[in-house]
Amino acid sequence: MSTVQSDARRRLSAWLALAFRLYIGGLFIYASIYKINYPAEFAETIASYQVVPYFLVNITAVVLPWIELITGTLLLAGIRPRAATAILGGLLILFTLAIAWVLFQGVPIGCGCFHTIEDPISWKTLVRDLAWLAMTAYVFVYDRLFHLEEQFMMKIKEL
Amino acid sequence: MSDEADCSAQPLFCRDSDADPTGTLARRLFQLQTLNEASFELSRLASTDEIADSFLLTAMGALGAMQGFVLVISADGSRRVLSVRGFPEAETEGLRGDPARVMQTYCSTVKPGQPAPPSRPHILFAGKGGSPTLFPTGTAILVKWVMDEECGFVGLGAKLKDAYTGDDRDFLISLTATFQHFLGRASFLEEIHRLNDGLLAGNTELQESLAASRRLGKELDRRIYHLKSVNDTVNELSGLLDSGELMQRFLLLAMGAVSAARGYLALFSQSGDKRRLVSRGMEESSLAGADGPRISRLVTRMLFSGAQGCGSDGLRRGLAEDADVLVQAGLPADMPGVWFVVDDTRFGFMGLGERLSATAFDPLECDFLLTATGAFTIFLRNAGLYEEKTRLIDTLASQNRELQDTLDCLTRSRQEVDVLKAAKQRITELVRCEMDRVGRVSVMDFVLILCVSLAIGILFNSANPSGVSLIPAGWGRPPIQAVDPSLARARLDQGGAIIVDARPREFYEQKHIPGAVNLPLSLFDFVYGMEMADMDPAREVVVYGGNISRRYDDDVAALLIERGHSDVKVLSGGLDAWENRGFPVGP
Repeated sequence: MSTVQSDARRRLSAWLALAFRLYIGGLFIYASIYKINYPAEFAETIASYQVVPYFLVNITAVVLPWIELITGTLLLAGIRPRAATAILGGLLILFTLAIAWVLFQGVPIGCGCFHTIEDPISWKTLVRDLAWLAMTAYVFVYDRLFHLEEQFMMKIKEL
Repeated sequence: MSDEADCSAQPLFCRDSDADPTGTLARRLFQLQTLNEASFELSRLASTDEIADSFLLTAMGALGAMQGFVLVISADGSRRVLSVRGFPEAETEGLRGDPARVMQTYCSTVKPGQPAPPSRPHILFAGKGGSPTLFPTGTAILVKWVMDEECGFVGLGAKLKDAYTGDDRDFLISLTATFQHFLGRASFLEEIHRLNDGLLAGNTELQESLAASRRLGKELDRRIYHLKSVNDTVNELSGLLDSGELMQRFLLLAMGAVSAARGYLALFSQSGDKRRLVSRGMEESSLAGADGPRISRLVTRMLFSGAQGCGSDGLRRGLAEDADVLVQAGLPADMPGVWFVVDDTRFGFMGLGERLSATAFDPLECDFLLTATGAFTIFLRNAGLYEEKTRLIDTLASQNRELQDTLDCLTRSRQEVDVLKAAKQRITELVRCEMDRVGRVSVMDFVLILCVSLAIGILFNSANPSGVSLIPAGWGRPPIQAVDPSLARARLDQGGAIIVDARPREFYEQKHIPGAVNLPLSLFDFVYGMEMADMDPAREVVVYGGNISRRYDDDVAALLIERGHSDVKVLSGGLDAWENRGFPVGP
């Protein structure tokens, strides 16, 4: 009986992880589009946080959206999903720390997460990022469904 | 011998009535002469019956009796001698009919095997009338004697003139004694003759037996020779295990035993009509007509006709000498021989021809052929079994070799399978490890994603019209002069300098040095045109607002220099250094 329940729970976790995975992947793809097209504005946003050295701000503004796009795409497709989840999780941690830092410093800037012009960072922004971080951790632990890479890899059972 | 001659020669006994007035001497002389003549007469006779007859006649004549008899009985009751003269047949019935009864009545002491004491002749009865029972009624005097196992009686009838005197009795006893003597002698002679005859008969039988034993000896010699031949044949065949060599050797032995110049031995098998043939002194083509079915019919016919050889020994063989039978079987008619059955599937025929003796096989040859053929069939059967055994052993050895090869192959295959299993296990483990490794998050994933993002980002940025410079602008300009916050404040207080806040407006509104003009980099042209367009270019301008991420002060200072301002300086340490000096800051 307990085995059936644990199986059902495991299936539920896997499907929930799949939903989180699709959500997070789409979120980051969406977030990267504007940043890629307008790197100068994103560089200003990064600079406004005052955590990145000035000589790394532009290169960060150029590369970071692509990291988001590529990892989001990999996560959505299920290719190297754990690595993609880990990278996205690391980015979310950095973003959360940065937001916390801004809140702590009281710097009056917008988040810049999706667009240049946004409402100033608040505790809601921090909670939202923490929620995304939790989803990412959940995906990292429970995700195992519809991995595209498994279609191109040999199954152990075939051996 | 006349009386006159006796008288002249013997004066003592001359018949002289004067010298012998009673006639006693003459009578005695007569008796002695009678005895002498009787002895002489009896001595010439050999048969007891003749002696008895002669004695009875002499006694009757000498004593003047008209009747007489002599009876000699053996101990077993059989009558040995009976001579009767003058008695009627009816009166002598007792003598003839039942001598055993006479013996039991008068000679009870005489028993077979128990010699009675001999009894010289003596008068048993004398007188007229009342003669002893069983004897003739006319018997006047009866003499009896016993000797060995015999008992004898001499009886005489009455004399013609007077009765028997004492001299007559003595004379009769003497005469009987003589008779007894010669009777015994005759008995001995008869016994000797009988023994002689017995010896002759025995000798004859012995001669016949000797001749028979010689014949038997010769027969035994032949038998021994025959048995020796059979034994030699059996010994010679016994060591052979090859059926072909066995057939050759047996044919030679059989030809030698019956003195045949030609011979053949054919062996047939019912399955497949196979024929094996060995021959000597003849062409095999002459046996072309002898095939399995015809010989099989011959053998079957012989078996059901009760031919010779179907003995109790279980061996089936026999002689076939009839030319018609041989011709019907396709065999040479002039070569009689032996048919035989080896077992349920094999049978054969051995023919022998051009023998030294043209006659048929004699019994010994027949016996030899049958016996040797019986032994040959047994050895042939054994040879067949041995060949079958050898073939089975060869087959088994071959199968064993194949089995061993199969086992070796299986062993090698098993080893290969083990190796392959180990390899599969190893490969599976490697693949599983690789899959696990691939499934895990690796540094390479991060490096690859970062490198790809970096490359694509740089490429896209280079092609993007709104791309940004990856190298900070300040790195290509000459360094801008810096001014210490204290000096800068003194200059501000003196009114000789104007201070510019280069940060974005949000930061300016949050906190700035009192009197500072906000000139954000992003709005430089607009704000400059409004705030500082008419300012003296030579006036000292102190710019601040740099942070870790942006060198607003350097960038704005550089733009001011480009607009023609000659004395542009950057506040050393920025707003933080200003505040740290305790200088006033306003919202």
